[in-house]
Amino acid sequence: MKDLEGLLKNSAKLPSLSMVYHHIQRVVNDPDANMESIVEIIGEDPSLTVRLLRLANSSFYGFPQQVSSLSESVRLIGLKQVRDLCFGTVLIQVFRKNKIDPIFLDHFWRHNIACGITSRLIAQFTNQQNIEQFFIMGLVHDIGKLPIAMNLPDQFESILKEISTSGAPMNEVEHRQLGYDHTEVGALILSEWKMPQPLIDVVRGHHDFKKIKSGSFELSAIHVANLLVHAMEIGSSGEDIPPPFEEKAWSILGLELETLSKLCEEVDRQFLEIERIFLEP
Amino acid sequence: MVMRLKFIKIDDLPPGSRLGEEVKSSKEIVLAKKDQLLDVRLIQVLKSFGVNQVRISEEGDRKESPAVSIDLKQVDQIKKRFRNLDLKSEVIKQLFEICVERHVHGKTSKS
Repeated sequence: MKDLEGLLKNSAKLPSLSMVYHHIQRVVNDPDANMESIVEIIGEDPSLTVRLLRLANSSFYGFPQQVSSLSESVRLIGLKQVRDLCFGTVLIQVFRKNKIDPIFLDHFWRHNIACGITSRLIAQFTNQQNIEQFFIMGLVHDIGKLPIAMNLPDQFESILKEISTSGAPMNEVEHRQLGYDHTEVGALILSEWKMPQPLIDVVRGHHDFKKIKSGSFELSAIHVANLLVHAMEIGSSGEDIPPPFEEKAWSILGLELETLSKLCEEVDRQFLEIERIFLEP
Repeated sequence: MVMRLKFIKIDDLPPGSRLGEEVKSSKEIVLAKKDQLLDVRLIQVLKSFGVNQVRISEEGDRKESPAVSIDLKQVDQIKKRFRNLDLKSEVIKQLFEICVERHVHGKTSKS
């Protein structure tokens, strides 16, 4: 059994956390940051620029006119929202450079992008303010699985095998085999990156029924999104069947039951386009 | 399929509504496109241009699905996939039906 902190700190095989950190810090934590400085920073990265422009012109926003410049995208989408989208884009690119089975990684991001889209739609349907924050919460909710896959490949393989034969939830199998699970690893990474506490809480709590029952809207949105995406079989985050579900999460969202099919239709409608924007090299 | 549209007050929109037609300002600027999702941000924009009601597509507009039958083996497989879930729950029951429908229409996208 490995210790959790050791998994992150004592390994030379970790992803370029500093690179993610560096990008995000530059964009987010500069108190003097304004639209121009953010446009300048993003403009240094052609891949990020293209992805943001494609997002601005995607079904995510449906702006009536074509958005043709980065500054126009930032103006229309908003600084905070652009910051969140940058984080998501950079995160996916950085993990690409590490030694994880590319097929697993592709399935993993498909699942997590779909969760991001679903949580964002839940936020839209319930008139939340920063809906991009919900996209990021969905996108990173399983991020803790990647360091396990990278640094403990044999154990990770064994965890996946046990899940596929027993159908047991992944976090339970991880606990049994490692002594901790991906929610704890994910929360630890995000803490290291000094990401906002609500994001860390969602990653840590997305399988925790007790925390969900306590009434957090964000946690409930991710819990429901995760269920839907598993049920709809979009991508895979290591487990092929939907994990156990806390019913209260749905009532916390305050959505009518009839909204469920509309939600799934919208996910289908947006997924392929958004997936391409984030996953194309 | 005949598109049926109905006017609805912007404050009474059900969640997840999509515009049934393009909305323009009094100066003919396109504010929102047909089919655009009416979320809180768009509603605020429309209100600020004095738009109080919009046309949305009615539920009945959805394309009638041709009658199709599902292989019972498929239903069993979906049930197996739902083994960690309580099929007595209304949410799960509804989701199960959605998944069966997706299988019938070949919408699963595992690859």
